[in-house]
This record gives sequence, C-alpha cells and structure tokens, in this order.
Amino acid sequence: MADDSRAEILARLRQAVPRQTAEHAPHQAFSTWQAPGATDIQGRFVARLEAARGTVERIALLADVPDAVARYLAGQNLPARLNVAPELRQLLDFSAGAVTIHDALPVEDGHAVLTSCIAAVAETGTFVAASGPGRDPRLNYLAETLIVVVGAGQIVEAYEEIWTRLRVRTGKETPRLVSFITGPSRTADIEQTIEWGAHGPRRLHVLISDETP
Amino acid sequence: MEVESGAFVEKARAALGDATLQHALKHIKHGFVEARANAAAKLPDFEAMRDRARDIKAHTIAHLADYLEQFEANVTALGGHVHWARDAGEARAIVLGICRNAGARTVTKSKSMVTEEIELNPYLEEHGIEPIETDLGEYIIQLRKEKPSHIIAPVIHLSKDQVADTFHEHHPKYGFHERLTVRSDMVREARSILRQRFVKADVGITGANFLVAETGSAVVVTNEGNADLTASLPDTHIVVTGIEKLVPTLEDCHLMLRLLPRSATGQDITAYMSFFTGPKRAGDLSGPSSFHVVLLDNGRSNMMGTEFEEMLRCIRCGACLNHCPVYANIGGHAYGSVYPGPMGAVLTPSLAGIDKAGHLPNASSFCGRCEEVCPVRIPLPRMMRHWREREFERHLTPHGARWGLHAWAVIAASPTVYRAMQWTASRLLRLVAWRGWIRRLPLAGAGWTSQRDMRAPSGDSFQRQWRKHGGRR
Repeated sequence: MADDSRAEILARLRQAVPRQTAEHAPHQAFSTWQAPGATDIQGRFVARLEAARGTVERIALLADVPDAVARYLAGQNLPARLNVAPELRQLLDFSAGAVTIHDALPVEDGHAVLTSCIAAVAETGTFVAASGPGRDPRLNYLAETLIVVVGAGQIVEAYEEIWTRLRVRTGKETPRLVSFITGPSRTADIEQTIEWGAHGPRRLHVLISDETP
Repeated sequence: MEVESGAFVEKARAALGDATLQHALKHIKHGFVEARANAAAKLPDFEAMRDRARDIKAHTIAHLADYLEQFEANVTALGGHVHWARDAGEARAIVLGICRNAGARTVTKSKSMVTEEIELNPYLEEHGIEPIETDLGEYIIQLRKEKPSHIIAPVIHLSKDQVADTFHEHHPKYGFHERLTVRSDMVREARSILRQRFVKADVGITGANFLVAETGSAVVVTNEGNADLTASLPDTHIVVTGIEKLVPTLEDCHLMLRLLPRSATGQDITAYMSFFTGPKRAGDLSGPSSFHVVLLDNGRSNMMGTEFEEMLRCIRCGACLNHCPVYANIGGHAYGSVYPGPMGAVLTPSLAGIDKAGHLPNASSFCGRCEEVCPVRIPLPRMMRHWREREFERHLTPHGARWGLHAWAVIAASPTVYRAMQWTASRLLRLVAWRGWIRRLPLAGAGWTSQRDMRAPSGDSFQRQWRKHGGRR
C-alpha cells in the first residue's frame, strides 16, 4: 500500500502539465533592514537583539563570564542557581562560588541556564543553537532565564552565512537541529497581546565576548 | 476533507450578531494589519522578494515530483523515514503505526494545520493514544473541543474571560483551583502544566512550514518554542505535512522565512526558526533516535495543471485572512473548514469538492486585498471566480441566482437594453430615497437593506456624464 501511494502521487504530479514555470535562478541577496545609527556588525546585532527584548553585556575574556553571570542574576533578583551547558563546563571556572552549579535537566522553573552558540546573525539579533557532539540544545528551550555567550567573531550579517560556516566545520552533513533563536519565548494567542515566557525562556541575556568559546 | 461549509450563510449571520466574537475580531486590524504594513515598509526589497518567492515556489511546484524524491533520498540517507499518504485516512494510519511501534501513550503536538485537516487528534484518542496540543492557542482549543478559527491565531475568536473560564474548568485536576484574571498568570499556569507533559511524552508530532529538498530538513517556526520542545524531548519525532511545502535549497528557504513572519504577524522573525534534519547523530547528547516525515497529498496533486495550481504556492501565513473584510466580520468558524478566509475559499473546494464548499468562493466582494498582501502573489480573487464558474457549470448555483445571472447576461450584452434598464432603475431608486439614502428595498434589494442603508444614485449615469464632458475627465 505504501509503495502504491508513493507511485500514485508521483505519477499524478508528473502527468499533469504545469501551468506555471520559472527557472530556478541562482541565489540572490536582498538588502535586509539595518538598525539606524549602528554602523558596525556588532552594533547592528545588539540593536536588533534589544528590539526583540534581549539584553546585552560586553565582556573581554571568557574568564569574565562567571562574574558577569553572577552580576546579572543578582541584578534581576534571581536565585544564583545555574545549569552550565556541557560544552562550557571545561572552559569556565565557577569555583569562586558566587553561583551554585546544577547538572540535572532544568525541567522545573527557577533555574538559569548558560549556553554557547555556533554563530549569531546581525540581521535580526539572532543566535544559532545546533546539535552536535557534546552539545545539548534542549537547554535553550527549557531554561526560564537563558544566558548565551556569543563570541564577537561569531556574528555574521545574514542567515545564509550560517550554513557556509557549518559546512566548513562539519563537512557536507547538516546537524540534526539548527535553531535560529531571537529574543525570549512569547505568545500573543490571548487577545493578541504579547506575554513572555510561553514555553521557553522569559528572559534572554547575551554576553558578547571578544574571545570565542 | 470533511467540511461543514454548507451552513455558511446561517453561521455567518449568527457570527455577525455575536457581540463577544465581534469584539474579539477587532484585534486583527490593530494587530496584524498595521504590523505587516510596518514590517514591509522597513524592508527596502520587500516587493522584489515577493516576486522571487513567487518564482521559487512556481518552479518547485512545476518540478514537485523531482524535489520530493530528492527530499526523500536525503532523509533516508540520514536514517530517517519518509511515508506517502494519498488521503487523510492513510496519513492517520501511518501516524498511528509509528506511535504504536514506539509504544506511545502520550504524544505532544506543535501547531499543525495539516493534522487539523486530517483530524488526527480524535483518531489517536479512539485508538488509546492521548494527543496533547502545546501551542497555547491550540491547547485552549483542545480543552474547549473546538476547531481553530484562524490558521496562525487559533483562538482569535475568544476573549480573555473565555480562556479564564476554560482553564478554571479544566485545571483543577492539576492542582490549580483559582480562576485567573491576568493574562500572564494564565500563560504561567499553562506553561507549568504543559512542561510536565513535554517531559513525559513518548512521541512528538510537528508540522512543517517548509521542507528543504537539498538537505532533507523540515523547518518549523514558532514564537513559543513549543515545536522545539516537541521535536527535541521525545525519542520519536514525526513531521506531518503537505507535499507542496518543498523548496529546493536552504537559501530559498531563508528567503521564504524572511517573508513568512512579516506577512503573518508583522514580525521580522519569529522567536524560533528551526531546521530538523534526520534523527540524532552519533555523539549527540539529545534528540530523537527515530525521525519520520509523512507527506500528505489529500487532493493537492489533483490541483496540478488546473486553474487552481498556483494555490499550491501558499505558505499559510494568514495575511489574506487578516486583510479580508469578510473574514474580519464573521471570523473563521463560519467557513466550516480549518482553512477559512480567501485562501480557504480557494483551497477548501479543491480538497473537499465544490459541491460541499460552494458558498466559500462566493463569500467575497472581490476587493482584491488578499492578492495585494499575498507574499507569493497568488491571484486569489481570480481563483474564486473560477470556482464560481465551475459551480455554475455544474448547476450547483441556487435557482434564483442562476436566473438572475442569466437575466444580467441579457441586459449586459446589449448597450441599448443596459442603458434603458439603468435609466429606469436609477429613476425608481431616487423615487424611494429620502435625503440621498434608501432605507428599504423589495425583492432582491431587501438582501442589501436588511443589514444597511443604500446610497441613492446621484442622477446621471457615468456614461452620460462621460458623453457630456466630451469623453474627457
């Protein structure tokens, strides 16, 4: 039955004489909206991210991340409990003790999560999470408060460049998950009014580091 | 596809008199319509991008069989499975089979119009599997046992108070007994209930906004992040979607993704835009080990080569609903189909038959706003006219309307008769008018004046004035 369905659908599509035709033209880049006043790529990324309700802090070194996280959580009156994404655990030293580190999946609310990204896009203030060895992208969706480390050199202008970068790194194969995330989770289902933290993070804080994780 | 479009006239009349619905529908204008205009104005190449999007989809549809095979080959090479369903029944059986193989008891779902089209939820329930809608709007609809009234805003017909009542009725079993009045509290309560369901689900079912042929990816956009949780937490991920969702390349997909949210909600991008490609790989710390794509035909391939073929370009943004004066006045439920508004007026008869959905292509003033805002430039009014022609040819048009159209054909075909009729009608209308307005008309005219007054003719016809001015303005 399954093979019949496949054959029948494909045959019907091939038998019909299409009424519309167009060549598959090569990719064409269109100009994307750019933040007024922001001249450099990092400035554009920040302006768009802030427009999507994200907050930003610039830091110099990865070693500055633990302090920046502790400061942010304290400033927001949030508990100093943190899940650290696997790929960052070896890189960062939280032994100073300002925040408590948890390893279990943050199913219950009340935890902040610190993750990194594979790239970021200035076009819309977006960071890109992906699956891969030693990565757990679920953390990006489960966190109530999400803090993301973005390397200044990871920011590209447009979405398409992400795939070029990925292919250089992983070869031809596409990862199972490539997720473009812009601002906190939201819903406007009830009376078209935006509420934050629908299923994913209520808050998104980005640390732009001169050093890439 | 099962529809209840036969009762359109009665339902539309009831909708016009429903004060709660009328209040809820007012949000469309100040939400979606203005937001889309602002988003389009901010993007300098928006119109050129629409041309390009139209061409990409036209090309893909013309070579759809080839792109479907390429997509299938790429999914299979990664260890995923592609299933082909001729109709709703086949699609439902395929999904049930996968769920049974996974030993599933509960299934989380992110919003999918195709699973609404095939009425998947009642079928799964009948077979002992509990489907859980996770998009907030779809979740509310599921609790209320209703159907969505808009393809991207399922509960646009409901007020905050109605949602509060629904939660108050259904949430005590989760330990929430208080009736909430603040929107953010309602969202928080639903979040905490659904979070537990996400974690325990055995299978996750999503739709797809696009399928990418060159990689075998299924692309889903949401603002809530619910599709990502649905696709990332359970061990099995099933994508259920229509065969027309293909685009050739990732670059093509990003062009479409720049147009979709701007056309739909006026956002530059949705909060989440995710590409799911095959099952999890060796070394991945999370993700489903089993990945399935169910490709649904259900009448779509029959549209190929017909005057409705261009409808296969549709990316389900909902802009035509948001800008339609008919939809804005009656909402989505009156259409009796999960695809309402202008896109539904073309698609529903294609999928369910014009004999079951004849009212829908007639529910248009042909103002043309739907075509003006369609990101892939589908000529929706022209296609509704094609359906009206087919309906007339098949003698499905009501007797009175057929007689009227025949009479009109005689009058309109002869300039002399036309002018005489126009002169007479104009005189008569001015006789019954009072201060430029007509309150009540007999016969066919009563249909107009029962709901609103009619302007009296100004005097001379356009043709007479044109002649009087010597054929100049």
